[in-house]
Amino acid sequence: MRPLAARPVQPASATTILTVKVPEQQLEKDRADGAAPAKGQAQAASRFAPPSDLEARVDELLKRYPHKRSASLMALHAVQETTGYVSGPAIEWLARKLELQPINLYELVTFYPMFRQEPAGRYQIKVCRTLSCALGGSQALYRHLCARLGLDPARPGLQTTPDGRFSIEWVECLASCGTAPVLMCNDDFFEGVTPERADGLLSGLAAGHGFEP
Amino acid sequence: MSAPPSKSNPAPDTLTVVVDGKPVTVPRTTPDPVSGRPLPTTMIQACEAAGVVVPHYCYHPKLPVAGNCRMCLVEFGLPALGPDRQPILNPDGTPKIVLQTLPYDPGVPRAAIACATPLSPGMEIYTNTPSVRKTREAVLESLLINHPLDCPICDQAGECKLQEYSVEYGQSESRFAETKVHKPKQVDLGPRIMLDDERCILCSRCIRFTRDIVGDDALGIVSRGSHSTLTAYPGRPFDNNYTLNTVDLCPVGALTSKDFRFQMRVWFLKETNNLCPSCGTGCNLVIGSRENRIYRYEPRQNDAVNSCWMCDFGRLNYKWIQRPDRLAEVGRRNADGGFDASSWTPALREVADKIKGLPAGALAIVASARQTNEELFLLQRLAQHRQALTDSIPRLGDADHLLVNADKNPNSTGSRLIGIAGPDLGTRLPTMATGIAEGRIKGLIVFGEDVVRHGLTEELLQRLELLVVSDVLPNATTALAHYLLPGCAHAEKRGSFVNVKRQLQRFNQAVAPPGNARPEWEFLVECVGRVLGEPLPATLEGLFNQMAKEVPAFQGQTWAGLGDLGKKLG
Repeated sequence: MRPLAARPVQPASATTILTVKVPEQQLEKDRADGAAPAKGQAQAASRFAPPSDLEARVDELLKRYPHKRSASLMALHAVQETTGYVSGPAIEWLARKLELQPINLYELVTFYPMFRQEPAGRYQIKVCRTLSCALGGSQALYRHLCARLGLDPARPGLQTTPDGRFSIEWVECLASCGTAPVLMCNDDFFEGVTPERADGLLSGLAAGHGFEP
Repeated sequence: MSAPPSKSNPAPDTLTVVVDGKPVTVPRTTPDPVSGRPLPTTMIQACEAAGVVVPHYCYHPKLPVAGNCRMCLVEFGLPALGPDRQPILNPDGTPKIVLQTLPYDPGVPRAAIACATPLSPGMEIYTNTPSVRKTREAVLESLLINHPLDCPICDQAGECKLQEYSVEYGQSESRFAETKVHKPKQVDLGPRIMLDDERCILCSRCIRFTRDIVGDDALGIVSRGSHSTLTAYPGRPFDNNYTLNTVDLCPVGALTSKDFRFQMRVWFLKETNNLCPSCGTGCNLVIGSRENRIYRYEPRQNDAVNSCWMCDFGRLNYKWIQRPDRLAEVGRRNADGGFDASSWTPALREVADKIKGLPAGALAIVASARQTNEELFLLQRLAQHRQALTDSIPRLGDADHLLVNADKNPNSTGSRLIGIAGPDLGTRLPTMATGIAEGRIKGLIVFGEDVVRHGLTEELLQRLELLVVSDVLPNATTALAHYLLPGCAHAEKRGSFVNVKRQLQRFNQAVAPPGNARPEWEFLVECVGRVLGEPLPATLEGLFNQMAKEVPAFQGQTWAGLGDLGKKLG
């Protein structure tokens, strides 16, 4: 098991998460010809400024597949990794890049729960709720974390503290049933997390970044 | 063709299967409805060929197969093969058929979806066994889990597949004790479509139609599981010119037409076969009317013309028929320049006498290419008798890749074939204008056109000794008429059109015309017959059959022979 001291997160993505705002989706009508991107689409997509490396990453992904559409999932992951979430304008930007209609990507983004349509906190805590962890006390762990963060354990889905620092959500099996309960904080894995260890985790994160959880 | 294929020597491009005990021979491949590429013929197509109806929601013969509703599950058996790959025979010599069962539970029949399972030779399909019926019950029950069962306020009620199959395979009481998933009930998908997501059974017909037939990939299913929801991309209206076809395609009441929504229960509608007059394609349609009011147009399948579709413009282009300012009374100009109401008999007699009083060649006729063949034929007979100059008005607009034709007249071809117009409509109008200006043309008959907008100015029309106008709505030309004869819209009369692909098609009367308006052919028979001095057929059938004898292009056609789908002219 890793030490509970927090690993520094990518500051670029973290700041992006906190500063990017969802532009209002405002699109014009009139798409008599489905193939040609309409004026409104171009305008909306132009409001999404892809981070410098994203376009290159997507271009690199496209080379791996025989059809541009096949790169959809990986490209959406790239968007989420670089901008923190998949916004409407980002979907429209990517759809143009993959020569698809935005609805094609919107279906994917809504189907897969790991795609977020709104920004998450700087630290995203994912608590496993599958059988072993459920038996090992993940419910108590989740309630404890929510109490510490001032969030509602009964609310479904991802929720974020008002200061944008922590998000918490349930996930399915994280593949460490022998060390239940387990959670992930961003890309770091924590096993056998008792409420005390969870407190230590939160304090460690806070100490590492100079804020109170 | 050689002798029909026997069982021992089947034609290589067909195969024989047995549907519910009835052998049926079908082609091995059937063209894909979108690309036209040959695809293996499926069980459901064989069942259709055998006259057996397999219940289904997502399957549509004109759309790519999706296979997601599971309603068309059937059992099937295949010929048993011995170790030598030869069929095992029963004692009576027939091939032994093995009912297909689950590989892990041989006691349970393995059902297959008829819409997506290719046929194989000797296959036996069972569509009505107890276990198939039970499967359908189970599928239907699962489709109804989150369905709101709001039939009393649903526009689809009466023509809903969920209702129909519930009668056949449903249960009278729901076993579902949990809470239904609620979804949006009023989703404004576009200018003409309102979506009720709770009723949607996610068959994806609308998605496939707009993606594969129209080429506007606008709809999709978002989220997962019970929360799956049909939608368009947020902020992107579903507004192509074919959206209302998704309302027809929707097997349930999810996609509704804003125009028809909450207007009329469908079982009250009288259905009349008619044609769309909005362009030269001549889409076949059904008019739904009640008590002389038109409520909706729906496309009627005709694979030679419009498949199962029609454009939104044509479908909604019916409101003018019931406008309050329709011409409904016979008008006769009096000495003071005003209009007197007249009645048909004296007005037609006077018109006929005045036409007879004109010298030969002093009459001109403008007959709209929106008139029926029968009306154009009568006018052409009159023109030949009086050596009159005739023409129609061209009406051009935009075309698209699917159904909309650039020719906005429904019967330009008929007008050419009958001889009213030359190869190019409207080219004789300048001659007509000159003739009137020079005083050679003294009488003008106008049917269904506002000629003032087409070069025959008001000043020219005022010089005429006789101006007979028949139309359905008032315009600048009708205002100048000496005799105004109120006519009928296509929904108010019978007749035939020839579309741009030379398909001769007939249509029937759905509603009665307003006031004293009469079908043009009816009063033309009286009037032209009086000018010609010979009796003309008093029925539309007789008139059509006489036209077929006299117009070379219609040679051999009969009114009865046209049927509902019409005939392609050579």
